Amino acid sequence: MVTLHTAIALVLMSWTGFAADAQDSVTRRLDRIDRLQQWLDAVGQHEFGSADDALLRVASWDRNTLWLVWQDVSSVVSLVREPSTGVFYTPIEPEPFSGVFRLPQPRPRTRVIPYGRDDINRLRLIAKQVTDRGGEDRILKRGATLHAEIAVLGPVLPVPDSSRRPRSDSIMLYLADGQQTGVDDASVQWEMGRRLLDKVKPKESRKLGADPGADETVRLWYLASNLYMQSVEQTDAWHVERSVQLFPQDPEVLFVAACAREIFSGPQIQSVLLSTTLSRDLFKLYGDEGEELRRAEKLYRESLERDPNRAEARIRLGRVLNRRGRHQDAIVELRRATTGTKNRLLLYYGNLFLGDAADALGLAEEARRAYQRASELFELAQSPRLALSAMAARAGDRSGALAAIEEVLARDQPARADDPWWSYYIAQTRDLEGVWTALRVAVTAERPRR
Amino acid sequence: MKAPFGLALLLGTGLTAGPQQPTFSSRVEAVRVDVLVTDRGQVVTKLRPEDFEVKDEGVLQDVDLVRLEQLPLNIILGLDVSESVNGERLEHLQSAGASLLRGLKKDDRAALLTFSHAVRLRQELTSDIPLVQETLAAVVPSGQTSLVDGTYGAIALSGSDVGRSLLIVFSDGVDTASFLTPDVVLQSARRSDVVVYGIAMRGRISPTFLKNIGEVTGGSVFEIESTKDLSQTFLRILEEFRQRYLLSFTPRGVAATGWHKLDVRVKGRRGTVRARAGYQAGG
Repeated sequence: MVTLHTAIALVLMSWTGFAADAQDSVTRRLDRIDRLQQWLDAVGQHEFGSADDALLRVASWDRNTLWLVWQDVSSVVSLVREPSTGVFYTPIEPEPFSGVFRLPQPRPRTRVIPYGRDDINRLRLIAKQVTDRGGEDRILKRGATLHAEIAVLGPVLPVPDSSRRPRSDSIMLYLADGQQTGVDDASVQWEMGRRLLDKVKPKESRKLGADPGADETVRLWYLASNLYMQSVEQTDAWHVERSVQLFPQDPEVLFVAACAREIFSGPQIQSVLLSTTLSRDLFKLYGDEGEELRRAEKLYRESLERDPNRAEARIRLGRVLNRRGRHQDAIVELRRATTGTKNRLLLYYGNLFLGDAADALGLAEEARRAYQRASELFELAQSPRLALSAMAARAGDRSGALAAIEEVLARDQPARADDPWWSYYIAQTRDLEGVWTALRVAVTAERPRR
Repeated sequence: MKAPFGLALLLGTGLTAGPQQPTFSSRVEAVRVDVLVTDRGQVVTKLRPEDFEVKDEGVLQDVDLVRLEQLPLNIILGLDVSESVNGERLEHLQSAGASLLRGLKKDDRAALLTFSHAVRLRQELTSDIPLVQETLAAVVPSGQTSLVDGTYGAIALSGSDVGRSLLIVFSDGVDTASFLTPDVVLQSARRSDVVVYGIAMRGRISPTFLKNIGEVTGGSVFEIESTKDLSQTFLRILEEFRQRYLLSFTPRGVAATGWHKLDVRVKGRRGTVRARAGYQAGG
């Protein structure tokens, strides 16, 4: 199996999510409240950023256990918000995965959870305990972050018994070099996090029901999780869509979602969409190249409307426009972006794409200058040199074409860092650690009420 | 006077054959067209200059035939060494490369360029063939595939005024990392007189770029089921390349610049001609 660090992983969500057979709840109800208590303890004890005992304990639970925990957390949230609640239902979300693909088993329906009287009494005690510990939102956000950290640490966590590994009805395609190399169950941890956060209802919200889109910690959670996935070349179209649903006005979330769509438009994903033998229905959340470029453009523009100084969004918008054949529009954005930033990396990308757009428009001098600037910023980078060489070749200057590339092509061991083009699709994640730190700080700052 | 990219200067070296034994002055720009003639899949040999008809932009040209046995070959291997070319695939590729290199003659030269996300000239054109073999044997695959960038690099490096240049490009997958676009590389290829043969793994995605570059340069593309077929394919390409004709003509009655569409046919007999689609003249 190719590791996540060298392969793209494509998560395809089932419409049922990680929902296990709810009948399990009948056979498991004797110990389920104990398990809920264990989960709450782990959520309370976990020190964010460390693979401590609390994290390892929860990481070892299978999907059925997590499903029951999710049901019981939902019951507790109901009790905290409406203490007189007496009947509890399996919390089927409003079709978050609809239109993706249909599994053969019957669709689970909302049903009454068969708690016994003792169970309900214990749940009431837990609800009080949750209230005393700072409220249900704090638990939900800490829980979601715990599960996110398990997802991040997933590849390195010990799995003592594979039959107990958390499993999902979503599948993960492993891709390497544009080819499908394997299929596996997707981790349920991200889904668990999303479902927990879907219950968040900030105090300042005026909505009657849950309102996760009004919560800053939830926003940070989605930012951090999306950036993490992009950094390890893991894609999950539903995760991206949900982010935008919750934060349609946030320039950062819109930017990260646009980056994801641009990635989806790229050859790594598109080659699999074109070549896979799996049902096309599995990929309904992924468009073809043109559709993904259109979505990326829309999201970059929306991000820029809210934050016009976001040079990185403008540079990427320019590239997307160029790929859509709108070179004139691209050049306007790229000229503006390259004069609006001093960041070396962004200037490199901006000039590289500006050269491309200018070349396409026949503006040879501007193209050459832009490629040369890019080349000066990263002297060992191949991409601008190849472009300069190709321009010379097309002009009939064979010796110029050779001179432009001989030096960089003869290098013995080119490093990834030599040419930022080689890491363009993950460059937006370079401040990943900072975003995760902000998330951990935010979650930790949500102190228990005294 | 600098030779335009893709237009070779044929000097009065006596390399041409035929009854007229034409002599080129040192300032004449001749166009070389590497031609393969087949009939029902079989290569047709022993054709004479008068058996060919070459039209440049529809204007009939006087054609000469270059004696191939006096022209050394420049074989450029442009090989995909991305992450997916590992294990058995790499062994097959190295073995195929070695077979091909063993088939070269004394004055032939070879070069090795590889591409993953990075394009690397591992060995420039040299007649030290064992050195190329050693270099190929030491390749370690990693990274993504820059097929378009790699092909461009190989075309740019293949320019030589001596001999005939054959570029063999192998890739086992789709391009995932190139910066250059296929169109840009195709435009550059039009100015080159290298013949490009592509080898791709048969799959659901057609190797469009390799097909196009083959068409533009008069080469071809082979789609193989398994890398086990690589040695056989490499040798087949070499053999086919040796059986081609190198036509030469000095353009007359056509514009000195711009894209010239070529139409090459054999006269008085059945045969399928494969030659580059045209050439770019002037600046």
